[in-house]
This record gives sequence, C-alpha cells and structure tokens, in this order.
Amino acid sequence: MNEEITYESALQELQDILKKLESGEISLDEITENVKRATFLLGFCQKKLRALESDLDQLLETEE
Amino acid sequence: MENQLSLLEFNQVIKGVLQDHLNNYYWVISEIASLQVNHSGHCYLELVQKEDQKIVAKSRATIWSSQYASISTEFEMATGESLKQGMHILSCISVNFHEVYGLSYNVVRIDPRFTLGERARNRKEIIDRLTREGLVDQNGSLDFPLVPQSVAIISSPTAAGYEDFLNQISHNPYGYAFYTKTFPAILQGNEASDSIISALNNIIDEIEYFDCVVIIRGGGSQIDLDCFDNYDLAVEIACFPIPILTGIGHQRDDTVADLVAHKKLKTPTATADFLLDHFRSYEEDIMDIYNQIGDFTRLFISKGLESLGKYPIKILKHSGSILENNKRKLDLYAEKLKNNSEKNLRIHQHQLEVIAEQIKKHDPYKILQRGYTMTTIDGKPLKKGSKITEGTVMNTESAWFTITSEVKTTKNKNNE
Repeated sequence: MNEEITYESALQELQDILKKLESGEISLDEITENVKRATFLLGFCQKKLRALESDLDQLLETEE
Repeated sequence: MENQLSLLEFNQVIKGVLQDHLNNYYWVISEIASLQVNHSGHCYLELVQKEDQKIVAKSRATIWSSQYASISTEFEMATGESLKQGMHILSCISVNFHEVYGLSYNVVRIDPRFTLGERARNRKEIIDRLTREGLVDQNGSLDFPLVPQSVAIISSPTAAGYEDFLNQISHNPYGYAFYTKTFPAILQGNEASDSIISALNNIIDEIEYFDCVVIIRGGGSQIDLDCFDNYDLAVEIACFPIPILTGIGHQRDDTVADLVAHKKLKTPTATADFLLDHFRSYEEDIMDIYNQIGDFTRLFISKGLESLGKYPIKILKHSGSILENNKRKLDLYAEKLKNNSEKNLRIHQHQLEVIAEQIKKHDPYKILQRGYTMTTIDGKPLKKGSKITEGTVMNTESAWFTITSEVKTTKNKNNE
C-alpha cells in the first residue's frame, strides 16, 4: 500500500466497506478483497491511535 | 529733654507693654514661605499670608530645637508629610520681646488637623476636576496586557523600594523573564511632579517597547506624598497610552496619582507580585488548555479504539451472512437441479416406454402369431425383384415352424 492514508480517510473507507457489507450490495468475489482491506484499515487505525496515545503519554510525562 | 530713656529702659517698656497686653499665645493661620533647620536643630520659618498671590503679611518665626523634634514628628505622624514650604499651617505662637534680640515669634505647637483639612480640600478639588473631565478611570479602562513582560520603571535608583521591586521580579521562583528599563525621577518634594511627568514623556518616546509603567518609591516611607496629589501629574497618568501601576509605599488614603492609575499597589514588592500574578495566571491558563488537549486526545483515542473494536465483529457478521446467503442459494440451485434432472429423466423414461410399447406392437413375431409367415432367401426377406427360379431354396418362418422349401414354379403378380 503505497497510497497516502490518513486516519480520517481510513476510517471513512472502513465505514464504507461496512456499509456495503451491511446492505449486502457486494458480490461474493469482492468479499475477500473487501474484508482483507477492512482488516488492514482497522489495523492501521488502531496502530495510529496507539501511537498517538504513546506519544501523548511521553509528552505529558516530560512536562510533568 | 525730659524722660530720656536708655535703650534697655526703652526695650523694657516695650517688653512690659507687650507682656501686659498680649495673651500668652495665639493660634495663627499662615503659609510657610521658607523653612530652614540649622545644625543645632533650630527651625527658622518665614510665615506669610497671601491674597491673590500677593503677600499681605510676613513674619519670621522660630521653633526651638527642644520642641522642633516633637512638633515635626507629631506633624508627620498625623499628615504623612513633613513641614515644608508652601504648606498651610495652624501654629500656636507666643510673642517674645528680648531686650537684646528684639521681637520674635516662637512656634510652640502646630495643629496637623488644619493641614490635613487643607490637603483634603485641595485633593478633593483636583479629584472633582478630573472627574468632570472624565479622566479618573481613563488609564484604568485600558486592557492590561496578558503577559506584562516589558516594564518601564519610574523610580529613584537609590531607593530601597526600587531594589525590592527588581529583586522580586528578577528572582521570581517561576523563572519568568522581565525586560525592564528605569527612567530615573525624583519622587518626593516639590520637584517630584515635574520630574515624574518628564520621565513619562521619556517613556512616550519608546512606548512601543513597553507593556506597562510602574511608579515605585522607597518602601516604608510614609511622608511627602503631596507631590502625588498634583493635577498635572494626574492628567499625564490618566492620559498615558499604556497602563500605569503605582507602588509608592504608603498606608494612607489613595493619592490622586493612585486614583487615576490603572492599579494602585501598596508597595513596590506588591507591584512586582501583581506583575508576577499576571504571568502565573497566564501560565495556568496555558497549562489548563494543555491539559484539556491531553484529556480530549485521550478521550478521542479511547472512543476511537472502542468504536474500532466493533468493526471485526460487524465485518465477520456481515461477510459471514453474505457467505451464508450465497451458500443457501447454491444449495437451492443444487436442489432444483436435482429435482429437475429427475423429472426430466422420468419424462424421458416414459417416452422410451411409449416408444417401446409401440415398437412392441410392430414386432414381426407378434404378426406371425396371428398366422402370418415370413420367407427369406439367403437370409434376405422375399421382396419384389427377388430372384426366384425353380429349385431356389427358401426359408419360411411361422410362429410355430421353420420351414425350408424348394421352389417348383413361380408366377409374377401384376400388382405393385
């Protein structure tokens, strides 16, 4: 994945995929691809949040 | 030439007349035109009365050193001012005539209440005028800078209060940095007002560098505050374009300068604390915002993680259900396929059975059963055009017999 992803765009895409899955408007052939992508995006978002949390802890600790 | 008197006798006559006709003392209102204390501690006064700025009476008077210390101390305690030129006083004077030194006025008491009243009246007149001119709150209405970092100091650099102020701000426990510039001025006595005004004018020349001005004076000194009850100085302070703080170290009622300043602090140290409080309050605000950012971010993270946590279940649920649906469809297709195939099979079987039945109906053996025979020559059915001659051997099949025969005669039939 060389594309530039932001947390916001990843979350949006994740929601879009979920919406497609919820509505069932997705072909069987696409499911694997979509679930794979959703898993990747999910991991990306979680990683980003955890990194932010750790940065924050470090910053606040330094200040204290 | 009768009644000739010696000078001593003459002076004694005068002394006697004065003693006979004058009270022991008189309370006299006057203005101090000049005041000098000599090395022995005697105080020499020149007292005047003016009408329309013109002197209409003038006398010398003395306060002997034995009394001057207590009179001046009592006066300063009561008024916050030392006796000085220009002051209106109510003094208790005894008149003496000495044969050698002549007439003299000795001041034995001064009532400070009179001077206080005079000062209060003067002060009230100035305040009333400033109020009429709308100047009292003018400097006070300026916004005080959030971080008053560059401070113009008007003070006497030798004053103790000046040192107190600098120490307080430069050794503050928070490590805040101040930039100060001192504009020296005289802060007591008759020249003080003009000196302070001149310092303010000097600040105006570099006003863009300063956040505020402080006027500070030696801590503990309680006297000579009249210079701060000056109309011209009050106007300068009121109209000054940046806030002015006063910390002139006194406990009495506010001076006019205090009244028109942005804020009056009791001492130079309190003035420094006021500035530090602004820094501190700003820093606290910043820290609050900083902490709020931290809190909001944590909340954002925890909400984000919580909401992300639902995705795997939802994705699994929905993709699973799509798979399930498709599987069900497939099963349905398989079922239909199976059902349809069997149906087709049965149809074909039936057709076959019908055909078989029909075929069965046309079976030659069935015909033979009815008494017909079938003849073949060399295994071939006997047909039109078959060559039959005498002696040709024929096989005849009936339902019950197989007959081999030899042809004796033949005769062609004309029927087609």
